Amino acid sequence: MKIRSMLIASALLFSASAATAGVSFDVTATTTGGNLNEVAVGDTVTLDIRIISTGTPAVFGLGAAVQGYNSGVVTFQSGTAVTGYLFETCIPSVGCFNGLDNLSAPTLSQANQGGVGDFVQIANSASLTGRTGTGAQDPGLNAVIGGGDAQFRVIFQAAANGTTTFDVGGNPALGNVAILAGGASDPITNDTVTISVPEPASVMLGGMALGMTVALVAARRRIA
Amino acid sequence: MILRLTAKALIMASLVLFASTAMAGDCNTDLNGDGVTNEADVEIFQSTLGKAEGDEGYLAAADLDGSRTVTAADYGIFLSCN
Repeated sequence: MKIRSMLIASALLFSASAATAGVSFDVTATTTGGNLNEVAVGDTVTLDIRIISTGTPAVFGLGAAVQGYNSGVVTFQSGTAVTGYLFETCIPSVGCFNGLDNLSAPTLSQANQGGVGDFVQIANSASLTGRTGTGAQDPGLNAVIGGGDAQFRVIFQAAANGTTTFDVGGNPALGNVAILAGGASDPITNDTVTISVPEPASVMLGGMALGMTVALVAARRRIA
Repeated sequence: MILRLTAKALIMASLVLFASTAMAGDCNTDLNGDGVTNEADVEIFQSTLGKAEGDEGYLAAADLDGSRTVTAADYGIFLSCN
């Protein structure tokens, strides 16, 4: 009886995993300030984003946005996106074929929705044909096939002190989902990045504390 | 006893009727109103995808989940209706 239950459970698990597209986003953040934990007001924060998929089952539609950030801490500056992704075929020096068209491209803008706040829609797709591309060879913004460059680049500027988190693809209520055959909705595996814009005084205090520690250690070594 | 059962059956029947009517309303995917849902309707859906209420090009008929924004989630409903 137990074995039968286990078999049924594993069969259910298998069918559940087979129905998951596994679309996910990968974010790399950089700042002109150098350190994401010590961003200064006026510094820009750039989010370089790529999309990947397990390839099966096929994806018919997709929506994704950068959201969750506090517009009191960072302000949206600009955004660009590729016009297609999850291509099934990519031939270097020729091009990529059978991907999803990105209807949000190429210029991205910020919008606001009640209950969500400000967000930047980076991907919007609806296709009659399912796409099975994994995205591994997808060209980025520099148009190089297999080059690995970002497919979406969103730039913010630090406006005030505080800490904020950028969430890419993590809000199903905002339509951040992959659409599979028959209209089945599959959540996206999101990625997040947190930045801090500390008070100048706290940065100074941190620096002073570090300086004092170094001085103390040096003094002890001299005595010893 | 029989009266109670009849009342329950009536309530159940009303609920089923209400649910099927509501679903039929959500499933109006003939966006150009030509009597059939086909590729032309998908093209119309694509043109309004990402638009929110108040935006130029927003099509309420494509906002199948009533969120006031046409998203990929609406496309899921669109496909599931056909």
